[in-house]
Amino acid sequence: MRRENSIWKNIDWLTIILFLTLAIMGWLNIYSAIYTPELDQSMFDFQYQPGKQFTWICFSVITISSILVIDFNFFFKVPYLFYIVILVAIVLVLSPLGVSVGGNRAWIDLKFMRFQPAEFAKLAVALSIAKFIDSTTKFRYGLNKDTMKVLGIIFFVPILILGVQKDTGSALVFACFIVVLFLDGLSFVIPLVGIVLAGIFVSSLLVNPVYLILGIIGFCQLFLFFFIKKVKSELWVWSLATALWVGALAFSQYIELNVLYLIAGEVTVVITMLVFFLLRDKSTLVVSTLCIALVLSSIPLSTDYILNDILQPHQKKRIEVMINPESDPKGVGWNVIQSKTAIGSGGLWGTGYQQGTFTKGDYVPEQHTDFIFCTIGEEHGWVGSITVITLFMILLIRLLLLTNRQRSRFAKIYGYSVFSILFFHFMINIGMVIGLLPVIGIPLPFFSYGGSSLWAFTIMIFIFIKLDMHRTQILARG
Amino acid sequence: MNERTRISIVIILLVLVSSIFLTRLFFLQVKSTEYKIKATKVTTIKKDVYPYRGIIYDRYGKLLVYNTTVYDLQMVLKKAKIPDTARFCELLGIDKEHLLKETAKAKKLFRYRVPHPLIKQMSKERYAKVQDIFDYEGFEFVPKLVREYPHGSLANTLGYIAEINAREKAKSDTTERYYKRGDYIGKKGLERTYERELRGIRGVNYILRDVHGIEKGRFADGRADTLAVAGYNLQSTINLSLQQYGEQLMVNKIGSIVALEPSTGEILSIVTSPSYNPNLLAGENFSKNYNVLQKDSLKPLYDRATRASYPPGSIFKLVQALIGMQEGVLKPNTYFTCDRSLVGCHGHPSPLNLHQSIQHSCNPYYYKAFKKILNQKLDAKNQFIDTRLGYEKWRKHVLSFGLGQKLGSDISHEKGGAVRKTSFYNKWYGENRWKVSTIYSNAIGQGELLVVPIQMANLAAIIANKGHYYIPHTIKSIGDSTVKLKRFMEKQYTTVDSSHFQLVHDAMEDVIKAGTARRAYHKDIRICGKTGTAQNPHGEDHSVFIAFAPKDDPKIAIAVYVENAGYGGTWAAPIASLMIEKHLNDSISRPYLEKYILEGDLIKK
Ligand SMILES: [Zn+2]
Repeated sequence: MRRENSIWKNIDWLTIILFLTLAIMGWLNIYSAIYTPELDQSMFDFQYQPGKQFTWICFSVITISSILVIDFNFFFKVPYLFYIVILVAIVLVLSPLGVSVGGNRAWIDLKFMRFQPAEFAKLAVALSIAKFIDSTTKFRYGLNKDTMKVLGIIFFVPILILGVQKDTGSALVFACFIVVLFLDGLSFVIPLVGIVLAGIFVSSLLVNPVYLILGIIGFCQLFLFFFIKKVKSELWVWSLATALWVGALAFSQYIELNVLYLIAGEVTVVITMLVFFLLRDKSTLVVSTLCIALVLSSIPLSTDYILNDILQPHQKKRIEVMINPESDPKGVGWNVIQSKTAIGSGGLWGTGYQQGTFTKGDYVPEQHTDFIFCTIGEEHGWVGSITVITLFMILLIRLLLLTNRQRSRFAKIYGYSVFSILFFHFMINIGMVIGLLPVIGIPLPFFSYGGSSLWAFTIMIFIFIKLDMHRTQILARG
Repeated sequence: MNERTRISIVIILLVLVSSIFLTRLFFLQVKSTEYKIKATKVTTIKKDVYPYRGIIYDRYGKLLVYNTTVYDLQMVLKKAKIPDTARFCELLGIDKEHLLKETAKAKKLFRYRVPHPLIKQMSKERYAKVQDIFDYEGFEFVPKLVREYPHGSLANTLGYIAEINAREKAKSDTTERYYKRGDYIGKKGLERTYERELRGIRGVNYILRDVHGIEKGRFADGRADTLAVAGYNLQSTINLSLQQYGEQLMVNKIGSIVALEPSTGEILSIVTSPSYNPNLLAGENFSKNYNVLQKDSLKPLYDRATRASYPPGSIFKLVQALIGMQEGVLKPNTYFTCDRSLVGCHGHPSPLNLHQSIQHSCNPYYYKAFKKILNQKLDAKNQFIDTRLGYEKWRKHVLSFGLGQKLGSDISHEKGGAVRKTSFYNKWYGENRWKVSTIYSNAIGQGELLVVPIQMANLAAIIANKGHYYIPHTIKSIGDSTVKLKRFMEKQYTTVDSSHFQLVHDAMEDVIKAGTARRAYHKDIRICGKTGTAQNPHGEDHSVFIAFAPKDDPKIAIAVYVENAGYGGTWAAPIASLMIEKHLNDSISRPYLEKYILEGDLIKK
């Protein structure tokens, strides 16, 4: 009895309250997005999406209870089996059991319900890598078999999803496991390089490459100045380079500079500096910084090549649209223009619940699924946006902090996974809706209409809450 | 790098992403107005609300024209389900080709979710029959207002409404910029004259529309909408039963009847024949019916009562007599012989005085009278100049009788006939090259004189009023106002003193009693009239008659003009007489006369 009590005392009510708040807000929003005054539909009418979503919520409640009641050891036992079941389910989408919704064959029809295996795949991967790393003795990140196995577990699923469903969005989310591995101890260099490269790539689409290159070199020069003492002893070399840099910047404002000339000039300066330092002092940090400057500077120049020769036409289109939605106002750009207009029309306070003209008018495609954030933006304005984004932030930070207090590696890795998955969905979805990221069709957790997604997120969070409840016991077990 | 640092980095990343989002959203939602403007533009459309067009009553409150509901059957292609095409077509009374044609048209216009009219302007009766058993999905009956005429009369005077054309729109835009393409506008008749009064003021509804163009309710719950203001109802001066009677009498005859109330200038009835049923131009078949009517050789769309210019014939002798008296060249006891060497005449006592000249309509008498009027020795030396000066004087008198120019009634497209200026004859014969014998035909209402039937009726009214008239009009009151338009209340005086009219009244009474129009005689009504037979070089002469009655308190002045009907007393006079009796007594005491007229077919003859 005492033990039971202590477990219930251990439950993290804040997470549960945040979860319930978001879930209820999401459900009300779907009702509003679907709501048409003429139909007089009830929120509970099973015929319509809000009603369906409500039954999913009920379903989730049953699931929550089961998760909280069953023995926590269960979650240590099932991951691999679950992983295999999900892989099979993903393939089964192609079988007669599979059904298409909106042209996307991603569902399995089990007669009493339909579910989307891809939504559960993230959960399966999270549990599996947690179990694998936890159960592998002396697991270390590096160029070793174990790390490769982890990466294999992670990336096999999105590759399979891509192969079976050709659904880029669902596959892309698996990139979030990089964050999991980083949090767990993977060297920061890899994700950092990735982020910097991607950042420069995207920036080069938005900013004149001349300024971008000047920016990169300027940044490296500052880095040299502040962090490497040896540079200060040879200050005149550095000053010369800086003077050239300032000159180029000043010059670039007045004359349409040919990028190649600029690069040639800068490269000359950097190489001169490089040679100079190499001869005088073999400081690896200085050398590597300068090399990085050279490599980074070359990215903006390769952007065109990547855009034109590596990416598929539809991917290219999405990137173009992200940069300039007006370039394709009837195609992919349509969603972005419409969603921005819908959100923009909300103002500070919004048009009021169920008063969104855009929402009512079906102007934004996928309004109740991927573009559900429009409804919040339009009907509740900037205040509504702040509320939702803040709630997500609190939930995410709470999840991180809870994870940090886990003693077992299994719970830790699993907790980081839940965080990372939610974070990615949150970032990519809202970024897409407000036109900051390309249109990638992934749902906003708890808000987007879709039973599988809601159910999967619920299970994901509650397994973590369950693990958190038993954190002392799990340690004892270890 | 320990775990704590890693978590901090990720939290910073999370906060950074959230801040970028909120900043971006701040600019989208709070700072920028671009999206708000764009949003209202995309989602709100202005929809016009058409006002109820004013209706028109006759002088006793009977409906002349009102609005009726018809139904457009609209089809939403995406939802439309017709499991049994044969039954569907039979129910609606359409053929399969029509259904296929309209479906193809809707597809061509990409009207899948937007309603497309399958049947336009289905009648109320048909709708009532179909409505209960019509159970097809994806169809909707949409009510619409069209003009309807419960009587089928008065078509040319009431006119019609139809879609505005580019020329009319351009013209209207110079003053008010009200009409839009596709709007209906009064094209003819009263619908045109009183367009502004009848049409009302359009309202605007701001409608929220979804991306497919389907309506989703009112913008701001209708607070921004403006209401449509219904048009004014008009009360007409027309006596509908007299009108219908006149139209009946004129069946199978070409010509017109105009009856006025002399004391007010109100038009009691205005018949043009042949005419058409005004309902033909009110419904869905406007263009089809219009084309048929336009091609008809008898020109039913031609309003003879206000547009056909005829030689007035002998009725003009009344004007000559009055001018002669006013000028002092004719006295009641001025006798002339019926000298048929000057101009032809017919059997009657001779010589005769002024009274008898009217009673017997003597042509040579008026030849001589005309000469006396024109040659008053204003220029003793030159007969040509003398004639011209006399003609100018004479013309001024004639114009004061409302002849030679438009009367200015409220019937659209009215014509004014012709009383030629001296410049006309100067051009024709050369200056100072013409004298009375050159233009003598004018003496007896032939020659270059042209008069429109409504002017003839007005002439009868002038004589009944002994020298003045009110501009003939068909509308008594507009909306709640009981005051007439100002121009219809102003007395118009002739240049002839009222003292000269008594002789004419007496002579006109004798025309009926013992003169040329004995067929118009009624034992209880003292009718004063004058026949005319206008020579027609193209065929049988036109039969003319003007009259007023009762003699001592004229209640009706009338002009009847029947084309190719021969002598004025034969057809025109009895028709006028019947009309007078109908208006005054509301019954007919001479069925034989009525039968004679009704059976008279002057077209097939
Ligand atoms: Zn005679």
